[in-house]
Amino acid sequence: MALTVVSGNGRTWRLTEQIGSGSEGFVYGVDDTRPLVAKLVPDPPDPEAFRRRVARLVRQRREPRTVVLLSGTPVRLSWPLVPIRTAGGDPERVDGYVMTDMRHAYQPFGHLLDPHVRRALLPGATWATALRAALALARLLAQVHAEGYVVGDLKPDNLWVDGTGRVGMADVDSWQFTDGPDTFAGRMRTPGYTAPERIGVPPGTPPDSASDDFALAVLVHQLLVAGLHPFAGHPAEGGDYVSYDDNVVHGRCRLLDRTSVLLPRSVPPADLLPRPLAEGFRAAFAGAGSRPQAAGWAGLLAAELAPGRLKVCAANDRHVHTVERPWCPWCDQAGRGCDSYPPEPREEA
Amino acid sequence: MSLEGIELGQGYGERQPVVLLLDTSASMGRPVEHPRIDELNEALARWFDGIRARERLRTRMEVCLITFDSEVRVHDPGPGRLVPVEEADADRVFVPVRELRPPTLRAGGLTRLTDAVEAALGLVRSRHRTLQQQRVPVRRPFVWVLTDGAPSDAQGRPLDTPALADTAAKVRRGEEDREWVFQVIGVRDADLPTLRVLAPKATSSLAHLDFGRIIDLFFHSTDDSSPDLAADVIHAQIEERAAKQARMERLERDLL
Repeated sequence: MALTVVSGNGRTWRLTEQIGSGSEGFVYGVDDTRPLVAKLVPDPPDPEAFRRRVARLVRQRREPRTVVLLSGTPVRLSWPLVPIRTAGGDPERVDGYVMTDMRHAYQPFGHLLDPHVRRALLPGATWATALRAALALARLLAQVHAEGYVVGDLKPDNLWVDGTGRVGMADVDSWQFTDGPDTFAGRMRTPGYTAPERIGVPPGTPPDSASDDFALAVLVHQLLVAGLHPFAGHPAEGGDYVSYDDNVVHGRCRLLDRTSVLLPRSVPPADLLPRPLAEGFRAAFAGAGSRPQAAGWAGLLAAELAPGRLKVCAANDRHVHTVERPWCPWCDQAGRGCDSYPPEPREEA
Repeated sequence: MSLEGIELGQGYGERQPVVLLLDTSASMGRPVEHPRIDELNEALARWFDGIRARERLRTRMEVCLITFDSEVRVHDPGPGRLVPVEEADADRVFVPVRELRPPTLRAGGLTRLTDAVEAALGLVRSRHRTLQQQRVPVRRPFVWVLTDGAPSDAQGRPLDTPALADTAAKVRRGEEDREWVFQVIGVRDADLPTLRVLAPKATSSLAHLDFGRIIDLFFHSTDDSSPDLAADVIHAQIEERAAKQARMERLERDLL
């Protein structure tokens, strides 16, 4: 395959294979010495609005607020670098953009959430890595919010992580932002990562930083509880399970009311969470009024990474936990048939 | 509250049964020099091999493959072969998507689509009930049909609207009761008007898209669709996505 796309100043890029598809667009590898990919969005709902959105984001890359977000190596955001169109089309049209290929520095965020995949692809990761990733994510989101952006569709598919717990974000073109007098609204949302106040509202209702903060709390919970969604579980009052969102709407959450859901015995124990974090989750899931902001989460998580706050289990050095808990929560879990951080397989002598 | 006896064994996430109903009638053996069935076999093998890289799809979906020509057969992962539908046990024929090893399909015979749909609805309903009773968090199942033809009866006569009415009503009722989402993809010369009798709002045409991309569409739209939305909203979203896929495919061809 040799697809060619053109930027506004006539530079051509050769696309390689299609590496991803979403509900909005398609991502292709780019034949270049730098790690780049191209996102193409065929038939955006409003082509002119899409063109302006991409053009403004590309321009904002040079603005001080965005330069801050893009500082550091590896870069944490896959920001739109150049608008592109397919060759031969209307020169004014924009079909997509070129951005950093996050795969050169990160793995998909979901790799850290699934114990089986994590063991295979991030074998060194422990609960400390999960804490560091949660902190990195909270800090990044706090900075994004401080600069006036709203992510809107914060979910594992749009996130990246590495073996040391560094976190990156992609899908910047779906963010909500302002540019001078213009507002570019976010409209995407994902089941399981939607704040209760946004469930059931008409499509197109804009997100805000508080709805991002809800999704952040879900993601931090998943990181710290070995992938478990905070609203996971079968409704204890009877009736069928429908979805995480249905549990959110009905307040079925182990941390809010442990009798509200049925969960397998082998899920990680809820008391593996240090008290300040457990309180943070309860506040986040109880209602929008008490929900901690991203910066608040960053503070709570940083405190748990302070020297002396983590303990390594004497029986299994893959088991890392808070000093608040006198005995190892992962050993407790293993005793009930599932070890989220199993020991390294012993090599045969 | 914890519960004895439910062990997901694949993380703690949701589960979702997905049925793929694949047309293996004689038309899939055409054109002779490039039979579509070969293309489908290759795409299935490649796709299920590649699934190992996609962690969320891996953990949530459990898949049942059903083929239909003059017979309806269900893939039994135990022996790894297609068995007559009467022998299929709903609790054995759904396998985690990462464990599915698709059998090699052969094309021949009629297009007993309605029998296949009825069998699929029975199996998926039974599986969904079992998982709910086991208190497994299970999302509403999806049933996907891939066909290049038109439904026929046991003698090979095309089915008309009245003959399809019963099955269509069952599909519809199940969607209203949130038992499943039922979606048809017609390829090549599929008889779309007749298929639309079966699934009026849920029949999309992807005449020229390659099968790998179609399987992608099955699983990604299943994955992206909200379990809380009405089936018709999901159908509209899938139609939009299918149209985008088709447009992208055209764009790729234009760019070549």
